Formats: sequence, C-alpha cells, structure tokens
Amino acid sequence: MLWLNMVLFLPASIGARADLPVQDTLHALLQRGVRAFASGDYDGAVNHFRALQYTFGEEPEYADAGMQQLLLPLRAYAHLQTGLTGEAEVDFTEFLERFSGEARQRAFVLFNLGRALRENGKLTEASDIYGQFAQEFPGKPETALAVMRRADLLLQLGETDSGLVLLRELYNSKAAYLLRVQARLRALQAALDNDRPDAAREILLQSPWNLDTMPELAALAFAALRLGDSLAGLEEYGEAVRCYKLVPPKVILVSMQKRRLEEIKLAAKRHEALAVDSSGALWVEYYGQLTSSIAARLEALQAAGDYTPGFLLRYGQALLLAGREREAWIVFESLALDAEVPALERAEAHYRWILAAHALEYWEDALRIARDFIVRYPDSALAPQALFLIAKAYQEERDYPQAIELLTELLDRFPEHGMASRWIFTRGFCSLLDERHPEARADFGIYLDRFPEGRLRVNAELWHALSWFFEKNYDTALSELTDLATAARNHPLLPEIEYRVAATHYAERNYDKALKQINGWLDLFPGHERQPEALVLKGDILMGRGELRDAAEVFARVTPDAGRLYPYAVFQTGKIYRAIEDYEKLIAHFQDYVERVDIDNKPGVSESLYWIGWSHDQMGFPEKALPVFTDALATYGNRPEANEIQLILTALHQLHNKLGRKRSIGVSDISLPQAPDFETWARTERQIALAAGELTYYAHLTTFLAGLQKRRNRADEADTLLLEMVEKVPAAALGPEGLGRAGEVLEKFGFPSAREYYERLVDEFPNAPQRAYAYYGLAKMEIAHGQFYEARPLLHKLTDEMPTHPLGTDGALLYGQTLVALDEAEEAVQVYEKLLRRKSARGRPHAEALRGLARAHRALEHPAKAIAYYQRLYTLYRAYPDLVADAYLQSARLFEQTGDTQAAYQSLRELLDAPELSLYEATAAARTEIKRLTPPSPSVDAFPKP
Amino acid sequence: MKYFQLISALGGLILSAWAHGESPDLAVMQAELSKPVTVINKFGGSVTGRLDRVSETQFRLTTRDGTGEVVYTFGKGDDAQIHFPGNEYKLPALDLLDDGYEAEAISVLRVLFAQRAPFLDFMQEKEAVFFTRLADAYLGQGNLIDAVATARQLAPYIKSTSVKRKLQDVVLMAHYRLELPEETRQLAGAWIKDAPLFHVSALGWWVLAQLEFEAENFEAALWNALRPIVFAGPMPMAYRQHCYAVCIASYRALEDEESAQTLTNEMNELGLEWPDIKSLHAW
Repeated sequence: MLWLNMVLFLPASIGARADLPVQDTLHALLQRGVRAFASGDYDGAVNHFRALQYTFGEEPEYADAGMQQLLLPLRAYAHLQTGLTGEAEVDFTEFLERFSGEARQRAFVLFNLGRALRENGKLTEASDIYGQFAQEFPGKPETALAVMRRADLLLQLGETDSGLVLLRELYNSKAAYLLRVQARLRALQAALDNDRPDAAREILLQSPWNLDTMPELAALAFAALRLGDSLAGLEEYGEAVRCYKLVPPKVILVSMQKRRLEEIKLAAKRHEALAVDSSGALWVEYYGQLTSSIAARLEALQAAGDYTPGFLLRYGQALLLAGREREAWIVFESLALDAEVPALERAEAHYRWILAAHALEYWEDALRIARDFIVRYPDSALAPQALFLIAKAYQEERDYPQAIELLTELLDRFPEHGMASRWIFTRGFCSLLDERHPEARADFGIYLDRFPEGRLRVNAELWHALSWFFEKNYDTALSELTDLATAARNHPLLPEIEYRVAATHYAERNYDKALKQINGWLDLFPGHERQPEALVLKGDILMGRGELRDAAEVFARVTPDAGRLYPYAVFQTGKIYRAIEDYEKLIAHFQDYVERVDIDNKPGVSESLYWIGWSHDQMGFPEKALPVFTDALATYGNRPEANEIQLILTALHQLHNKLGRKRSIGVSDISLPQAPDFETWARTERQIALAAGELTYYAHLTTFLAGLQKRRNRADEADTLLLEMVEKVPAAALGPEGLGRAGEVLEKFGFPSAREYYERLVDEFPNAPQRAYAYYGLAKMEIAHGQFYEARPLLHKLTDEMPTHPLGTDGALLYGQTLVALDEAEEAVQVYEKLLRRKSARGRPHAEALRGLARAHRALEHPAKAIAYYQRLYTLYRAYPDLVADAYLQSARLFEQTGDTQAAYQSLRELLDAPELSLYEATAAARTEIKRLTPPSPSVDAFPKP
Repeated sequence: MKYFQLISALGGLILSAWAHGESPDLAVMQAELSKPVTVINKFGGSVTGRLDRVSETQFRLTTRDGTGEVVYTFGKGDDAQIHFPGNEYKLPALDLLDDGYEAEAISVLRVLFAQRAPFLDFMQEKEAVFFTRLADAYLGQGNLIDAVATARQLAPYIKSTSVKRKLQDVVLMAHYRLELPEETRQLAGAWIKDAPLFHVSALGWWVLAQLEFEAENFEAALWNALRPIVFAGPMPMAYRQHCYAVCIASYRALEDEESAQTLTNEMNELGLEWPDIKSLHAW
C-alpha cells in the first residue's frame, strides 16, 4: 500500500496493463519491478530494474525521458533501501540533473539524496541537500525532518553552534510536537556532548517537558542525569537537583518507556496506513528509526544494572549541598533502610544520612544514626569517619567527656588513619571546651609534634596559647601568642592572633600595651571581620584607662550589623554616661536605641527603659520616671525575655515610697491612691495578670513578691508564692528569673523537675546572669547523687563567669568541696584563698573557706597547715559556733594523728569547756573521744605559784 | 445535545431531563429494576425469576409457572451468571458523572447498587469495580458517610491493587473531611505502609502532614509532606501540590523563608496550583 503512490508516477498505460499475462517485455519487467517496489520487496525491485536496463537499456522507449523520470527515483530508492547507497546517490543525482520534476517527486528525491549522501559519508553535501530541501519546501511537514537531519549532520561535522541554532529554531517552531520534542532532546544531548552545561541547562530547564507524551523518556532521563552530574561537579547543587528531578527510578522508567514505545508503534502504524503519497515514506522511515532507537535504548536499559541507588545517592548529595537537608535525609534514610539496595550503596547512604542529620544540627538523631551505622557496618571504611561524626555530635551536644572518650578510642583503634591529625586536634579542642586545659595543651602539642606540616598547625598553636589565657596565665599566653604572631605573618589567622595579643594585654590590665596593640590592629586590618570586636575591645581598654568619653566615641563606631556586639557597645556607652553622671546623654542614648527600627530582635529594650526611668529619677524628676517604668511594664511585662522587669518593679517600689500616695501608678485599675502600699498593688496586679492569662507578667510579679517576702525573712511565704507560680505557669512562659526561682524552690523541696527548669534556663537564656541559679542548683543536684565530676564544670562556670553573683560565694565554697572530693585539693586551695580575698564574702563565708582550706590541706596530707586553718577559724569566728565546734574536734583529731595527744586533749577540752558550743554534734563526739586521751601532766608552770 | 444519543440508546426509558442534568424518573427506573432476574448456569441454560440471597455462599432463584413455584439454589462453585435488569442505566450514569452531574448520577447508581450489592459475592469483580464510581461520587458530593460505607462494602470484592487503593483513598479522604483526626491518622498510616516508594499519589502523606500542620506541629508536617516531593520524579502525582503547599506553609511557620522560596519556585516550575485548603489560605 505504501508505494502505491509511486504508481502515480507511471504512465497511465502501464497501470492499465497490469492485468496482462506476464511476459518479458519492457512493460512487463517494469511492472514487476514496480509491484515488487510497492510491496516493499526492494531486492526484487532492484533485480527487476537491473534486468530492465540490461535487456532494454538500448531501447529508445527505455531511454525516453518520461520513462527515466519515472524510473530513476524508484530505482534510486530501491538501491537506498537495499544498502546500495552509491547507486542510489548516482540515480538521485542524475534525476536532479536531468529533471526539475513535479514538486512531490522532487521533494522525495532531494530528501532521499540527502540520506544517500549521509550514508555514503558525504556529510557536508548531505547537509547542503537537506538545506536545499528546507529552502525549496518551506511549508512542508517533512521540512522539519530535513532540518533535524541537517542539524544532526552539522553536529557530526563539528559545527555545533550552527547545529544547535537549527535545533533551537526547530523546537521553538510550530512543527509537529514529536519533532519539536525530539529536536529539543537532540539539542540537549549535543550541548552535553560538547561540554556546554549552560546551554544544556537552558534547554533542559527552560520549560517543562510534557512527559505524558514524551517519546524518548529514557534518553531524556539519562541526559538529565548527565547534566545533573555535571552541574553537581560545578557545585551548582540547586540546579543539579532540578535536573535530577527529571530522572525516574529504573523500574518506573522501564515501565513508562515500554508503554510509550507501544504508543509510538501504534502511531507508526497509523502513519503507514495513511502513507499514500511520497512524503508518507519519509514519515514511515522517521517512525521506523525512532521506534528502533527507543527499542534499542529500552533493551540496553533493561539489560544494564539498576542505576537507581547510585542516582539517588547523587540526588541526595545534591539536595544536602543545596541546603535541602531534610529532603537529603529522606533520600538517604530510604536507601539506607532498603534491604534490596546493594550493601555498598546502603552503607554509603547511611553515612550520608548522618551528614544530613549533622547539617540539620539534630545532634541526638545524628548520634543515633551514627551509632546504628557502626553496629551495621563495623568494618566499613567509613566507620572511623562515622565515629568521628559521633564525636562531633557529642561535641555539639556539649558532652565533651563523651566526645573525648570516643576520639581516644578512634585514635587507639586507627592510629595511622588519614584523619588522625584532625581527631587529635578535635580532642584537644573538646578538652579546651571542657576546661581541661592541660589535656587540651597536651593534644595540641601532640598534633604539632606528629604533624608539623599539618593544615591546622597554626590553629593548634593558637589554641595552645589561648588555653593559657583561659587559665588566666596571661604571661605564658602572651609569650606564645607573640611568638606565633611572628611565625605566622602570612597566615590567615594572623589578625586573630594579633587581636588575641591585644585582648591578653587587656586581661592583664596592661592598658597601654593593649591600646597600642589594638590601634595597630585597626590600622593593619581595616574591614576585617573582627573589626567590631576590635572596636569593642578598644572601647573597653579606654574605659580601663579611665578615658570614658573617648571610649564612648569608639563604641559609637560599632554599628547594628555587628550583631550582638552592637547592644554590648550600646550598654557599655550607657555605663559610661552613668559613671560620668551625664543623665541627659544617658536618656538620649537609650531613647535612641529603643526607638531604632533597623535592628531585628533588639535585646535589652526593657533594660534601656529602666535606665531612662532611673536617669529621670536621678535628675530629681521621679514623676518623669514613673510613666517610663509603667510603659515598660505594660509593653514588656508579659515577655519572658524581658529580664529587667524585676529591676523595674523594684524601681517602681522605690518610686512609690518616694512619691508617697500622691501619684497614680497607672498600670492597671488599681492605682496607688487607693492601694494601701506597693505590695498590695503588686498582689492585685498579679491576680489581674493571672485572670487575663498574662502568665509571664504574673510570674514576674510573683518572683518580685517572693523576693520581698524573703527579705522580710518570710521564707515559707516566698516558697508558697513560687510553688503557686510553678503550678500555674508553664516553663515556656517563664523568663530567666522565673526559671531560676522555680528551679530553686523545686530543688529545695526535692522535686527532680527542678532540673528541667534549670536546663531550660541555661539553654534559652545562656547569657542571663540568672543562669547562676542553674549552675549552682544543678551542681547541688549532681553532688546529692555523688556526681562530683558532673558538678565540677558547672561550679567552675559559676565561679569563673559570675564571681560577683550572690550565688558566687556559695558556689565557690561548693566548688572547693567538689575539688577536694575529686582529689584536686591543690586547686581547691586556690579557690578558697581567692574567696578569702573577697571582701564581700566576709563573715560566715570566710569561716567556711577556712574550714575548706583545712580540709584541703588534710587531703593533701599537710596536717600542720590544716590545724593552723582550724585554729584560725575557732579563734576568729566565734560567731559561728557550729563551725567552731567542728574546728576544735577536727584539729584534735589531726593532733592525735600526728601523735600530739596532749594538744589533741587540750583542743577537745577547750571545746567541752565552752558552754556556747555544748549543743553541737562535734561537741558530743568530743565527749566520747576525749575519754581515750590522757590528760596532759600539769607542767610546772601550771601549778600555782606559792 | 449529547444526551439525545443516550436517550435513544435507552429506548426512551430515561427521560429527556437527563440531558439537562436533572433527576431521572426513578419510579420508572425502579419498575424496570424490579423485573425478574435471569440466571445462566455454566452449561448455558437460563432461568428467570426472583432472586434471594441465602448466605455468603448461596443464592436462590424462585420461578413461577402454571403449577406453582420452583426454587433453584446456586452456590459459588456453580459459576452461574446473574443478569439483572437495568444494565442499560450503567453507561449513562457514568456519562452523567463524567459531565459533572454527580447528584443525578448518584441517584441512579444508588438504586443499581441497592439492587446488586447483596449479590456481589456471586458476580464478577468488574461489577464491584463499576460501583467504585459511586463511592467516588459520594465523596465528591460531600456525602462522606455513604462514601465510606460504599467503599468498605466494595473492598472485599476487589482484587485489583490499583482499584483497592482508590477505595482506600475514598475512605481516607472521607475520614479527613469528617474531621476525625485519630482515625484519619491511623488510616493515613496504613495508606503509607501500603504505598510504594515511588507512587502516583501522595494522599496519605499529605493527609498526615495536613493533620500535623493543623495541630501546629510544623516540623512533623514538613517531614511527612516532603517525602512524596522528594520521590515524585518527573511524572504527575496526585496531591503533589497539597504537599508543596503544606511544606511551604510549614517552612514559613518555622521562619525558614529561604526553604519556602525554594519550594515555591519548584511548585511554579511544575505548574502546580495552590490547593484550596482553608488552613493553608493564609500562607
């Protein structure tokens, strides 16, 4: 049927004689050739046409132009179809030289000449012929086919630009959908083959692909995969993800491609049935090629291994690096837990799953996933890295001892691993964060010895020096930093090192050197990221030198984009104005800060308001202070982060006393003229807050009232108020003061939930001074369970970060006690001695410090020193009889231990002879212990003189 | 105009009102459906009479002749085919559905279902498959209880996995719209358990994510809704836009505007519309 159209080229007489008996006449042979041709038997057609030429080649009828015009295209095409492409080229060319031809015939000849030339390797000529076709027949549907063939040839000839231009024109044209989409796919493949990722990206991603009808799904999927890989290689992960999203898994791709192949075959059949003219042949050929190409690709796809796991790993990695960690997690998790995925890919996915958890900073999950990895793949080459990731997760969780333990295990198991240097460095760093400075130094030292050319060499030296700084050994720190600054002149860390030199001078209170160093730093490193810190340090140095106005000018140079340093500079400036008693400037300064709208999450606004109100009061205008405070209460009273509400309430309390009952507080319906006193107002306000659901404000008022009760020695009432608060206010609505007080009262009554409040306080308000409650309370809870090791860092933080906090003294005493329990009595001695130097700790704390010193020296087996401290205690601190009684008893025991039983006896005797000490446990013990001691023989001097 | 053809196909049984989506004359239909049923046994012999269900494994056909009643009992193993009157209503009913006349279609399908539901045990699976459209239509009309009841009644007779999943979709969606969060959660969990990794629908994931979102558990909403987005691949997926919307809204609630924007761009590239879900309108 297909080639019936060719019969149209025959003279009518031949068609009319088709039913004549077969004879070897010219017409009979011709007719047989045409019939064979029409039935697709091209070999037969070629044979008949050859016989025709052989037998009748010299006959005028055969040579007749009309006959040749008919015969040449048929014979040429038969040659072409049987692989005789040279003969085909000759016939087609001869036809074109001799005949202009009817349009359909000429189009057929031109198109197939192009094909013959192409198959004969004459690519340029073939391309030109397709070009000629497109020019001569611009409106024909086959033109698009010719353009695509030409583009293919240009690409083969290395004329990539011209080829891509043609394909681009084609897929943007109004040609048939199938050709357009194929042109787009060819252009994509060409761009990829010619290493043009930008062009490929534009072609692939500029508009959606209609995958419901897209024939070459597999080709598209693999092109998208190639481009995705290429873009990932260029670190364009977001774009790589867009490509990977066009790749289905193998099982889906195979099923989709099979379905699509059947659809294309059906379409091909429809075309075949409709191919009633010469152009139909082109389409049949086109569909034939398309079908076999898809079938071949499908076959290859089915035969090949499953690309899916490898692809998903790359997809997940691109997601991870594109900042889409949750999606990466989902991909890696599904691969890691899929038993059908090959073990190698599964392990790799599991490892990357840990990385995704790390990237999300979900440390608990990271730990869980990494531990599971080690259980599943203990011998994997990735196991050490997974263990390292676990250690890093511990580090991020601030569980430094665990991190250190794991890193030690890693170093023991894989001492020669390529990452060993990093592990040593990290262990040192964890020790530093855990305030184990000698251990940290030891690791940095090992690093420097073992890896003198290591990438982190300067870092190790810097942290080594800073460990001295953190121990307040500024001289050694300075010496190391100065040497390092000389040795690391070209290192990127040089600004950091030089900055630390200045900071160390400042810590040493060597303000002159500090100022010189920081001025030099600011000149040397303008625009460095540390500049705001350097400015702040310079401001602090100037404050240290007493050059307050200059300091204020420097702080003013710190801008809001400096992050947390900006409010620091603002409040330092506030301190300066307070110190120089320039209240007008103080008011203007904080007013400006409060009114700024260019800072996100502006901290300390309520504190600023407090200082504005306070300044008004200091200037003698308490009535101006009043509205500032009340406005602050109204605006910030119900915000947990407003940490100055207690101060504001206290200030209001004082103002109330100052103003008497002449003014209205105006915060609520209750005003001072009606309220008998401030406490009554606060209690009423508290109830109103509760009724209104303003639980944070309610908690602020409760802690204020509890403080009032405590100062009046009504501890029970204070506790009741605080327990009420705990009952009514969820922890999330409490500010630092509320959390601290809640923890304190719960701990006092033995509720383990105290821990929750303390931990929340530290987590949510890591810079609030009230975290002292948490450090102290948590340490006490640990000690109650004998966990001195856990208590140690908490108490160190308390005494180191907040020595002047009201809990600092108790904290220091507990810290000393903890250190003694941990066999670190020498350090305990330093802690107690430091406390003895603190004037604010005079009285009982000093007495307890003496007792601590005595105990520490006893632990150090210095009984004489211990006795001396006990003696000092019972001599100087008679106001604390419980301590005195104990000191007598302990000194007696020490005397006895050292063999001085007489002194022991005398100590006990003195204790027993003091009536004010008679009720203590130590005294009861003394009564028993003295019985085994022999009273000293009275000395000569002891007898009364005559 | 299209329904003129149907009317003629039905031999005038269905009134021309159908052409306008109005209610068909159910009385006429009922009369047609109450005509005797023909049962053809496996040898090709046919009997016509009144049908009764005896048990899950047996039904009975009673015929009346001049001398009295004859009762035939058929078991499942007898491979008897039941031919109910009223088959001519089936195709027009589906056409009504396809053309958006759900209420009218339901009125026809409901009567047909009532006639045949007791005998589904003895009929081919395709009969049950046909009535899944009724469950769908109930859901579309907001007749949620009937949607669940019909889907659950049909489920035991369906072997095809894809049809089973469609019924599962109806039950899940109806529960979600009935605002039964706990039951919905359980059903969504079962849906997810049965779903392959690369699936044509994200319904279960979306429902679960939507419940979490409505409970302001934005992180959990994200994890559920992201999963189908990750594995959607290039082919269309039902409820994909719902998942994108929940993710974008959740990211915004978590103040992660960058991630929200990434997904918004992706959603636009895919040509997905923001779904009409009340709780997502504000985002």
